[in-house]
Amino acid sequence: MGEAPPWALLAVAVAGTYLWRGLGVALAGRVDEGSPVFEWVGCVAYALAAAVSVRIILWPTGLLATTPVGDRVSATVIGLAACWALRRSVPLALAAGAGAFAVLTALRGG
Amino acid sequence: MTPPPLATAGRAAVLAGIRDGVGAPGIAIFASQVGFGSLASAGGLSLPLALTATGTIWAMPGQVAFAELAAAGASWPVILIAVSLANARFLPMTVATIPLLRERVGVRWFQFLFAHLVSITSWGQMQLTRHRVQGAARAPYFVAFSATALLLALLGTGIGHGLAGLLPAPAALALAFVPPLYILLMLVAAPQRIALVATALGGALGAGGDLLLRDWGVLLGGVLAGTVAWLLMRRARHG
Repeated sequence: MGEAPPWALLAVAVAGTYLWRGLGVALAGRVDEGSPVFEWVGCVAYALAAAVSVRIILWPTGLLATTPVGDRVSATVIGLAACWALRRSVPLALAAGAGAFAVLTALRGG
Repeated sequence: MTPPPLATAGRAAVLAGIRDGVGAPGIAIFASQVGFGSLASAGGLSLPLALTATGTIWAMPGQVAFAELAAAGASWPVILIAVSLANARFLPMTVATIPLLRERVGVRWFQFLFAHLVSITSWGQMQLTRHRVQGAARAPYFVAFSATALLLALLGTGIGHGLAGLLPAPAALALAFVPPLYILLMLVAAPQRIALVATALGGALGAGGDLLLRDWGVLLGGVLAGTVAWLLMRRARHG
C-alpha cells in the first residue's frame, strides 16, 4: 500500500470529525431547549469540558509536559481565585493565571 | 444597570458576537492554534495544509491527532479511527448547542453549517451569554462569534507555523497554558449553579478516567459526571 498524500489524509480527518457534528444535529432535532434531555446533555457538556481542561493541566502532552505540575496547579488556583475575587471577570482572571504561570516559568529559567 | 437582552436577529447581534469573539475566548483560541501551527511545522506539514486543517477540522484534539499521525506517515484508517475517537466529544457539544440556536424543534439544513462551528469555546460562550443573548439573536451572534474565533485561529496557526522554535520558552509556555485555563474559567464563570457541580465532578471523574483509558476515559468520565450532576439537580429541585 503506497503512502496516501497528506491532503487525502486531511480529508479523512475532516470526515472523522464532521461525523460527530452531523450526528449531533440529527439528534438535536428532537431535543427541545426546555427538556430534561437538553439539561442532561448540558451537564455532560460541562463535565466533559472540565475533564478536558483538568486533563491538560494535570497530564499535558507536548510543550506543557516540560513544566512542573506544581507550577500549573498554582497558576490555575491563582486564576480561579482571581475569577471569584474579581466578580467572575474571565479576561482578568485569565491574565492573572497565565501571568502567574509565565512568572513561575521564568523564575525557573525555563 | 444591566442592558436589556439582545433578542432580535440583526446588526446588533452580529456586532456583539464579533466583539465578544475578539476578547478572552479569541485570545485562548489564538493561543491554542499557535501551538498547533508549531506542531504542524515541526511535523513537516506545509503552511497551506496546516491552515486548511484548522479551518476544516476545527477541533483541537483532532487537529493534533492529524498533525502527529500525518507526520509519522500513518495510514488513513489509523487517522480515521484516531481523529474520530479524539473528537467524539463534539457529539454532546453539538447536541448541547444546536437547540439554543433555533426557535422550533426540528432539523434544518443550515444547522449542519452551524455544527461545523461548534467548539467547547463557542458552546461555552452560548452558556455565558444565555441571559444576555436570546431568541432570534442567538444564531447570528453564534455565527459571528465563531467566525471571529476561526479567523483568529487561522492567524494563530499561521504565526505558530512561522515562529516554530523561535518563540522564547516562557512565552511559548504561557501561550500553551492559556487554553486549558480559559476553558476552566469559562466553566466556573457560568451563571447556573449546576454548572459548578458538573464542572467539579467532571474535572475529578474525567481526569481520573484519563489516567485509566485516555480519550475514552475522558469521554466516559464526562458522561458519568454529567449524569450524576443532572440527577443531583433533579433531586434538589423535586425534593
